[in-house]
Amino acid sequence: MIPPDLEEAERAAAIARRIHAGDADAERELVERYSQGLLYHLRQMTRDPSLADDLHQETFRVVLLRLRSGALEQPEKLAGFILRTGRNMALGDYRRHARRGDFAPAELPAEPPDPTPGQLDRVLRREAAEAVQQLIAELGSERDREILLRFHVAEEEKETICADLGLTTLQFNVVLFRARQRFKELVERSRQGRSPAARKRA
Amino acid sequence: MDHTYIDDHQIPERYLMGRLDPEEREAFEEHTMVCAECLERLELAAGLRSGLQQTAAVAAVGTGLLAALARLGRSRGMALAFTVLLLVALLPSGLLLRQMREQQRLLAAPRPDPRQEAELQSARQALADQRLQTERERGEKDRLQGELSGALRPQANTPILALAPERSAPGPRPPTQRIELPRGPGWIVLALDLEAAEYPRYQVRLRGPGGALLWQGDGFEPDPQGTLTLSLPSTLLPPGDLSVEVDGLPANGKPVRAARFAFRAAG
Repeated sequence: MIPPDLEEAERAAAIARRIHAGDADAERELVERYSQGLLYHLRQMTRDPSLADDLHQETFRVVLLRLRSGALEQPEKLAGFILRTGRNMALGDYRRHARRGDFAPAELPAEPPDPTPGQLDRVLRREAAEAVQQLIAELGSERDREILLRFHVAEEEKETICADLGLTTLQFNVVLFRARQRFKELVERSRQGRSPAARKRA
Repeated sequence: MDHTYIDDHQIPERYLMGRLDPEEREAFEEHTMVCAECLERLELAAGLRSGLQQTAAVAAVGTGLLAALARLGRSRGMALAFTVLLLVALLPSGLLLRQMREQQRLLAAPRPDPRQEAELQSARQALADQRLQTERERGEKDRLQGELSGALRPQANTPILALAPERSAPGPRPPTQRIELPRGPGWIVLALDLEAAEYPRYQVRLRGPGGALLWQGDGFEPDPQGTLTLSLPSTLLPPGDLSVEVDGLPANGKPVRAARFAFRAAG
């Protein structure tokens, strides 16, 4: 079980209390603190950056109204409250579109009306695939390739892989860590080669 | 948040695979709301996973080995993994890269279906609501069980209030008769003097402050002295001015008001 984050709980509760007391600085702090995480999760949900941006703003508007008007039952769970509010916003948006018949009964459109998110998505996918291709080529041992593929693609349990290959947990973790670090370097290098506009969109 | 734990247990990867239990998932999601480091870890894990899956899919389809392995009864994931292992070992990486680029458009991993995601979120929310409701019901059940076990124990000094009926219509004056409510759950006995008990059975209504109905029952028979004795759980009685209405139930016809009693319960 992930250990509870007591520091975050304290800070969250303090921010919630200050906003309820009318502290405008606390409102800015809330937006700065939770903005990036909320945006990430909204983008994952919607797969549409511009929609995610809209929902992001709307979520903070609703959250701030709620905090100004009344205290939360669990102010230490402020992050969860913001995330749930954002998800409900996204769900509400989806339902509104579904009711209006924007989606075909059987399935959603393959591409959103705005081509930009689709293009960007494809760029990111290609970038990831190319970085992975290079990463695999660079891996020194067959064993490391097997670990990555069995864990990430075949989704085998770590314990199974370790038992099959005679690895300790530490060895397994090191392989994954190195692969991740190298992958990060390759992606960053690839992004540096892209146009500024595309980087900004990413 | 303990980043060593997150690293050692591959929390971001298991999150993406849907392998975290609901509590871990919630805790990690909340953590990513404030931790830029873990958010980056999550994005990297997603990119690495996506890239590996695309590469595996390209390689597998490109050689037709996937179908062959699938026919042999292996799981799709394992087939993909071993196909790629084989290909990566055998093919020059440049060739594999060209294959990948040529087939990129056709073989890109399918976009997650927002409708399914929305339904999943809705189901998760319903499950969380259900869990909350179950917790509440469990708490209420525990409370009632506590009250019941307390009530079933023999009790001493049970409060008894002997009430005489009101002689006049209810007015603004406070009731003169009072009863002290016990601190914990217990029983309170009301002895209602019906004076002329002329009906075989009676119905009773207990009303709270403002006349709200707290309880009612019927079919009660008074004792030979014309007294109707009621034992009531003290939790039924809120502090304030209360009243008891007693109606006679004739063999035929409508109930007839027999008496009204008023008293003050002090908490």
